[in-house]
Amino acid sequence: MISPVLVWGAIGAFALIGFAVAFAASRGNTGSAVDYYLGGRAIGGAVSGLSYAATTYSAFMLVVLTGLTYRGGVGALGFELIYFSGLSLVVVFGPRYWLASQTWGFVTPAEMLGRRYGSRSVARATAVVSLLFLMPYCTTQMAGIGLLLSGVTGGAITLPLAVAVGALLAIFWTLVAGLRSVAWTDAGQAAVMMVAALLAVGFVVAAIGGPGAFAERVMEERAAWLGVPGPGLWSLPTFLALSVPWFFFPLSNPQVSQRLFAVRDLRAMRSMILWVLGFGLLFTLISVVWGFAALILTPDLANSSEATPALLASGAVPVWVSLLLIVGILSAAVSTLDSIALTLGAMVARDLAGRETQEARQVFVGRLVVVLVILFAAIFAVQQASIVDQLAALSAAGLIVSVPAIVGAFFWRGGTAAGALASLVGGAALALWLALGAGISVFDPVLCGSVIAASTLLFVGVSAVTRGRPDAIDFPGELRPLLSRKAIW
Amino acid sequence: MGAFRGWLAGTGLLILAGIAVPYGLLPGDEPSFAVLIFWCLFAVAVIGAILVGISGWRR
Repeated sequence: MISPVLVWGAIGAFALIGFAVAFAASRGNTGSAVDYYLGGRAIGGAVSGLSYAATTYSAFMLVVLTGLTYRGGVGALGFELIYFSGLSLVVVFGPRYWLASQTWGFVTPAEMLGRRYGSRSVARATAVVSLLFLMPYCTTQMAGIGLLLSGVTGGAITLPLAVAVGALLAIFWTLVAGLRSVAWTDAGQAAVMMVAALLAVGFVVAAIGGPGAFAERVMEERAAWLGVPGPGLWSLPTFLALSVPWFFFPLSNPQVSQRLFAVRDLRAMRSMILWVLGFGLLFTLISVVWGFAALILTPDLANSSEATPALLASGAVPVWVSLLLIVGILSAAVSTLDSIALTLGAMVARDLAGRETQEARQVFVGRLVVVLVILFAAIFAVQQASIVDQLAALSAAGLIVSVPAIVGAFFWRGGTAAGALASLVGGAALALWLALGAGISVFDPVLCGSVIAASTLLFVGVSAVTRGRPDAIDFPGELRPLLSRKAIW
Repeated sequence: MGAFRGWLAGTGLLILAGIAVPYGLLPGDEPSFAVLIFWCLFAVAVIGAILVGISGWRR
């Protein structure tokens, strides 16, 4: 157990530095919607990359992925690397998103789809689907903060208090300067996450006797964990059920794909991709090694999600490194939370409330939504409502319903507004019915397979029998000369 | 478009191999680090494929 005074001290120092960074970032803001939601489309490569990494690599990594390694072994590495390989989608779609946003001024991915298909309903449906599946996901980030802080302090920091701290940080950093403050604090938080995780994993490996002794002990004591399906968790159906929806994360999750609108130029986008690749691979390996180390140093835990708090309390990690790692995990959760809240704020302000409203009002509505989303997440994290947990688990499979319409937007001229709408609404309804009505687990590939098949068939089938809207934009045709000029496939 | 199709096919096959090889070829009764090593090499190959994909972009 770690003294709550030390934990509060570390969080206080972290918050002060974050406030300073957020205020410094706010100096560049002009008050326009593009400035607030996209940082004026002028975010550089390194900040974009670290911010993207901090957004996509959440508290999930050192809490859930570590727990999945503890429970099921090396399959967790494969699952996370299939997710990692989803970055290949950015090679194809990243420049297209960027060029489209530069050409037509899109601020949100929902707006992009709406304009592509010439339908406000498509934009609204995309925004509603994002709200439905991302708000519960925010709750899990909040719960992660609460469980970690209360776990490492033996309950001295209570769950509601820990959640309140996370909520305040996320709200403040988002409200100050929108994406500028979010991106800059994200970049700093990514650095904290990486340094803390590297130090912590170094200490636990040293405590086991170094890399050689660590490998020997894993082989002697946990050989089954080195293969697939391992001790039982990672059967092929489970692996597919988890990996396939997560592979499409860069397209299906608007808080990530919106970042593709914000980079300064294609050089910055290339740099962003390189940063995410380096960070992602290293952080994945660290999280899995951390899980194996927990198996050796803190075996036989009843609940695998307690692997990280147990390892921090094991004595293998010095207190100052534990404090840094706690701040790192807090960073991972807050950076994901504030990015999602900002994107949802932008979608409500521009896609649901309407782009015709004044810029200042769009920013005001977005700020209000940010506060509401984070308060929702905080309240439900404390209440631990089962319906929210189910929706959060469903988020990856639910958000995938937007993928057929996104792929079609850039590569199929035959896609229509009716097809996109049918795909979004029908796919989301099916996901909800399968998970909440029929009780099919997210660990069952029937769930994601059915949702992908239904949303794709609906998109293609309904598009085939309907006509495109006259005000739809022909992305494939209009972007082709721009893509050729930039030497993009 | 030929280069794009080649890249797409190659990357698609690579990702399929990331699932098929550990589940279809590598599992065995002998405990080993083969799956772990394979997935590390897979990650390096993914990075290589992405680097190829972005190498030609002009500003």
